[in-house]
Amino acid sequence: MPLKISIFTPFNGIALIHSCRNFMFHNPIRRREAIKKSLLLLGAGYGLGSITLFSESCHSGPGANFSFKISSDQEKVIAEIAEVFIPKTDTPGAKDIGLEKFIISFMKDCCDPGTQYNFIQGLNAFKEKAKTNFKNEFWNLSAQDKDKMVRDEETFSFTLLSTIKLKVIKSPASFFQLMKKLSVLGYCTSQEGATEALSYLPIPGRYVPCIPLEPGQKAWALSR
Amino acid sequence: MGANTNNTFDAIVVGSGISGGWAAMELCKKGLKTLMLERGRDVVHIKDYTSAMTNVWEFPDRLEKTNEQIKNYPIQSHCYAFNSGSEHFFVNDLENPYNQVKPFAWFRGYQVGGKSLIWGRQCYRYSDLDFKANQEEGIGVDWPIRYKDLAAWYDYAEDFVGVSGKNESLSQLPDGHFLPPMEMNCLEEFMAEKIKSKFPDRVMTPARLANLSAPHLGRGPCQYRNLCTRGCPFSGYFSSNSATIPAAQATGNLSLRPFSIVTEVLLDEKTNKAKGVRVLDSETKEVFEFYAKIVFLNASTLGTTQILLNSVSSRFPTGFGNSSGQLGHNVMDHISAAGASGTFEGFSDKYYVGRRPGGILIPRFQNLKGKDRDYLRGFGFQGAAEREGWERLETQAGTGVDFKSQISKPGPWTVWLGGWGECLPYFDNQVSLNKEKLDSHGQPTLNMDCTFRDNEFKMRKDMEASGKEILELCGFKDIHGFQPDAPMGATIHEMGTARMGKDPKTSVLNGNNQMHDVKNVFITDGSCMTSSGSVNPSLTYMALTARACDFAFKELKAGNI
Repeated sequence: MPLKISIFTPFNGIALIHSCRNFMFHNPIRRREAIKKSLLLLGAGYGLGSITLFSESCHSGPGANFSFKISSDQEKVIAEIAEVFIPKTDTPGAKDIGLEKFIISFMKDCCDPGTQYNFIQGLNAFKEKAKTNFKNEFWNLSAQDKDKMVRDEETFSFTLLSTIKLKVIKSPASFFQLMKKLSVLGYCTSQEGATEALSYLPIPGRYVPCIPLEPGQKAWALSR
Repeated sequence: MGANTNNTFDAIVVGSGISGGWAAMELCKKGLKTLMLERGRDVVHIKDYTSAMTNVWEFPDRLEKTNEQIKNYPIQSHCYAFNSGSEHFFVNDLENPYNQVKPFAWFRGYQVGGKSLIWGRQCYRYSDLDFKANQEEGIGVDWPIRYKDLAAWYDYAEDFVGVSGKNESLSQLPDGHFLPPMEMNCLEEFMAEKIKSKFPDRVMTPARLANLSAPHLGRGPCQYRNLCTRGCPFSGYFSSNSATIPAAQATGNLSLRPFSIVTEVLLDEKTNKAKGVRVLDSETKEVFEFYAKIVFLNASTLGTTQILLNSVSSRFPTGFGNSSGQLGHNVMDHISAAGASGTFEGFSDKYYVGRRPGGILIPRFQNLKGKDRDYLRGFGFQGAAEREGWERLETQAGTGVDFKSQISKPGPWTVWLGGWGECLPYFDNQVSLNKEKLDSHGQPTLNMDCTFRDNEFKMRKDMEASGKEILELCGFKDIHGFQPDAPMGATIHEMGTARMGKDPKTSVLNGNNQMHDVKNVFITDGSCMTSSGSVNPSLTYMALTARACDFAFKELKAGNI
């Protein structure tokens, strides 16, 4: 008797979906936060900027011979964008800790080819935009111009349209959605980030269910 | 091979997981020379917890799931407990395949300690609401025991394990012997009060955990790292490795043999007793026979079933001890993780210290006094409230110093409530042997043909609705309900394939977990369960095991087996 075999994806609560494919939606709280923020941004009058970026990721995809490779110039752009998100302050910034290395290795180790391809497309488009709009490489721009370019891209990436596209059409996350996630993840799980920007307590030794939050008290690096 | 003194013991225990470790400990403590057979490698307490103290930045991908992991662990990588810190305690899917006639998630740990290394550590007693349900509703078969038969053994199990918890005097959730509870945080306390004010009979209480809130019998206490699934160097939680195996070894009566795949239970057709077991050494590929007066099967529900189905003889053509025809049928698993989450605007000046290795429980509140839902039986809620951490910033727009400074601040309070609910026994939920598809050891694989049905789906719908109702009552915002479409097996509480019952025609085991058909064989892992109840079953496996070992030993001494 022929045996019918089903293919399935088991799912267990909120912590399960492959982190790259659905990173915004494996936590329903984060998803709603993102939609809320993007609605606010739309309301504040930021236009839908790079329509070309939107449609590019829709229509193209990785070929059979695609492999994820990042040149040193592309790496510089990644490092600079991460630094715009997490600059050096009284604690180390993204470039201090080589955050771009984590971002690249995560993309390589943890993402599917569709997402990897999208990342590179978005990275290249962004790098080109600096040349087009400012006649210079992104890493040579002033701090103000770098910040504005990143903010404009974020406005687009966190719009309702992009969010719906991610959720409904299940297209891979965009370059900027990935950059934000991986900058935060990479920084907060780094030794510098976890021990200096956050409160790192590897062996608490006790559990106190309710304490007053002191002014300036840092958030825990490790969650429950 | 052959009946020499090296291969002959008083007792054989197949499996070293949460119930096997107990069987070995009890039998050894009673003076029986006991051989414990484990199909996987040894994991020595503390010494083999290689990732226990690894900092997150020391993992190459910071504990995120990799493509390599998904490739090598296509099933196990979906388990909530699976990550780079724990992956070495999960089975190699590629070497140990199975066949999904219908979707089934089979999570396993093939090493000494089994899933007791990576389990959720929730410990709840079943009540007569559970033990009587089949009989009262005319479903499945009646349990051959009631709560009073097991109460003293629950005491015994809790006293050894060390369970932190709080007594609530609920008939549907019996009290126990507890170490101090891991108290609820301020939002959970607030919720508990709100719930009680609207539903006076509904309780929210700290989870009852096999984590030691106080030092216990030389173990612990828990250090609140919440890294249990890596193995605990502080012996802060109960596992075979931290507790029952060392106790068994201390008697001098335990022989532990890893890399020992039990392929068959051997029947002596003259005496109608089990002679012992046949073992395939997974390293050397040699085949051995080991003999004993009594055999305990604790290879996990599906592992035990696989062995029994593979043990055929002229007396038992369809599987060892299967004159009832029930072996492999009546598979149950809890339906779970449907419920609600939300954000709370308040307690912004409150925080906590330490990472509690569990959360809260809202014990079952449906169908307690007659039927008040459109489904039978019921569910409880598990979950926790916490403050969002830096992860919330992964999907938040923003740049520069302003954005970075938010990393250092705790986020808003949130809660997650998920239901864990009873699954009825359906004869057609079954597993069978596939002799055409063999695993890497040349053994037949299992076909899983099981699905949740109408009663479970109605219950799951109510989990979402009830969860939302509770969060609305408590004033949460951004309430989101969910009903994940998870297959059976995903809750990792699969049970029922060699059920206990009064009648040998409709059950495999009697009220002492003894096979009706073969009196010196006992089964006390999840296979034995006649109904699933709605609470985590491991504590019940432990109590049943200790009780059955006591019975088996007395029978042996009396010359009855």
